[in-house]
Amino acid sequence: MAGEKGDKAERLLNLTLALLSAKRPLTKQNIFENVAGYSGKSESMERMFERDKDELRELGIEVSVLPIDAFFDDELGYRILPRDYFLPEVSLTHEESIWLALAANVIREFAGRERAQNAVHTLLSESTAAIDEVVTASTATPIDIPVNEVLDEIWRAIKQKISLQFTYQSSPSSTSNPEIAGEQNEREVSPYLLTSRFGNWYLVGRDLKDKKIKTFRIDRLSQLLQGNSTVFLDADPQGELTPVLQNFHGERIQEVLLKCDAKMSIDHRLIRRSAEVDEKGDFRILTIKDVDAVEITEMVLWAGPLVEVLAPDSLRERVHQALRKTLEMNS
Amino acid sequence: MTISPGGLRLARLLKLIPFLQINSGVSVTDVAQLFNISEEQLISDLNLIWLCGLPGYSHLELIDVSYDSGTISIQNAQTVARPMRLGFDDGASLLLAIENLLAAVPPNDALVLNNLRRKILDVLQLDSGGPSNEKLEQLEPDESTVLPTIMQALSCENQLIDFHYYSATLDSFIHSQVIPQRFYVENGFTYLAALVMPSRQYSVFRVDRIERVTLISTLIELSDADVAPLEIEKRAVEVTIEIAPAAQWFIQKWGLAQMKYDPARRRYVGQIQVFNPSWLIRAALSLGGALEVVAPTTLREEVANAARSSLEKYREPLK
Repeated sequence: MAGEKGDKAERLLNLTLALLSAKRPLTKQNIFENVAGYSGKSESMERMFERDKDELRELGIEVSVLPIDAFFDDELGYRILPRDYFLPEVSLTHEESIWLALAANVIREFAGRERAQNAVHTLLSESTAAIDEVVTASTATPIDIPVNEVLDEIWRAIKQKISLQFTYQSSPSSTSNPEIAGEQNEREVSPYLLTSRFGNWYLVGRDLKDKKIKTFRIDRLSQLLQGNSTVFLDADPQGELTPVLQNFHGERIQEVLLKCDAKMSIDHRLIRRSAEVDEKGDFRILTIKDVDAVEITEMVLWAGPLVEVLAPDSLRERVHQALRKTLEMNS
Repeated sequence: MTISPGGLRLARLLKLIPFLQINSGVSVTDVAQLFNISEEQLISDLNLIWLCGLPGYSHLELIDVSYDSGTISIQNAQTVARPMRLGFDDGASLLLAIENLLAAVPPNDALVLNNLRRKILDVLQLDSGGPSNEKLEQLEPDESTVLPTIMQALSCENQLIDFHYYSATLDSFIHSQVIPQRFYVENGFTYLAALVMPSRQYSVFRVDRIERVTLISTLIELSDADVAPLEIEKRAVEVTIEIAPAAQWFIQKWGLAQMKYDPARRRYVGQIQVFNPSWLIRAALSLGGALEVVAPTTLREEVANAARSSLEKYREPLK
């Protein structure tokens, strides 16, 4: 390609290759003498190099300024250190590679599409799927999927360690009158991470008012702004975040024993979820390992009279109570 | 500082070069599609890459590019054999897409997307909230994701697929063969409209309940006259229910927009259309007293009877 654009991209590529392959820092003079694309008067080459260096940094390429001689720091040179430049190894499975190509393109109304596609172009080198599969996935007809842009702003604040300010509507179950009282209040929070449960996204962060770590459901959060406070309070991942997350994700039961009627389909989700299925003629004993207590309670109740909890006692009692309340409420 | 067109082009070249080295022999058409550029632009990029290399710039240092037969190969570019780091803004936008997709996709797809999300968070050095050594759950070797397969089917005419779907009403999996027609969104949920074979009747399925799909090679010929129109069931029963605030999540999960909070009763109250009473009975049981069927009384009695029947099993303590 002729003209300035082609020349500039060509010079920038040559400069990147030279700085990245250099085993020792290159002085400006080395660069002007050896890298293709630098010519003219010394001052104009200096200006050109300064602009190029800034542009590389703007693109996220770290150009390090280092002493030429390890023992003397009076003469400086430039290098792009491989450890700063290269994408770390990302091993993608076949299905992840397909979804990588699909994810950035499949949402019809998505303001961040171009940036997401840029990310895909970077990660495509790690794909393990055949090229035609990746092309098919990346050119699929988009679907209308609602996008909550707030998640992007929150990740940005987490990365940059900036506190956030927002209006938060408390859970309706925590108030006597959720729609009238509303329980809306202003919060300022140091954000740590985003996590999900049962299809909803939650921000985990420290409420700067009482300094406690809390979870905030994203769809109850509005008027999100960068916080007034310049304070960002860090959290100890092990000591503080782990217990909050364990509590948030709820109780897990290590082993559940269920007795289910033989009439229940062998394809039933409780049977699919079972580690062991013991056939006993007109019934089966199912063993389910490491399961969310809320999820298993809901699955058992949804299955109705075909299933009985044998163990643990706590789950049996929970199901028993739930059934009694349903009967009371609907008698 | 604004990035110049030359800088933007460099960013693309630094992605193209490693990709083309790893995927030697890929076609010009495929690469242009994947990188959202015209074939002319791609060829211009290849011509530029061919002029670049390491200082010395002899044939030993210049990058070798070939695209003569419509396929591309690049050699002698070991310096950029791998791509550069993922930029935070680009990675965060991809995360945003993944995180918004997670609630809408089938379980297998969500598992894969979650793993992909974890890997992108790791690259961006962000905390996923899970233990750092947590082993990622993987699909079984014979399983695949659902949405990409359906999209592949949609790109062909009358492509038949083998289809497993979880019906909450029946609390079991339905197995059938369908021809996907289109996706659509209603009440915040994504649905697939498909022709169920061999009846050739339209039916709709919530996408997040599709368990697994496989393409079938059998060719189906269809004319418009063969297809029965999509019929909304007319047999729905109007049911008045009340839901305690603690179970507000259930209203969201099922998109029950008709349910309104009644300050006097301190509960959500409303009338909903129920196509199959089994669904409501199961829902009432699962909510453990947080859902009351007010009318019709016959359905209220059915809920009470189902609760009684289940309670029979818990009457005696276990020995």
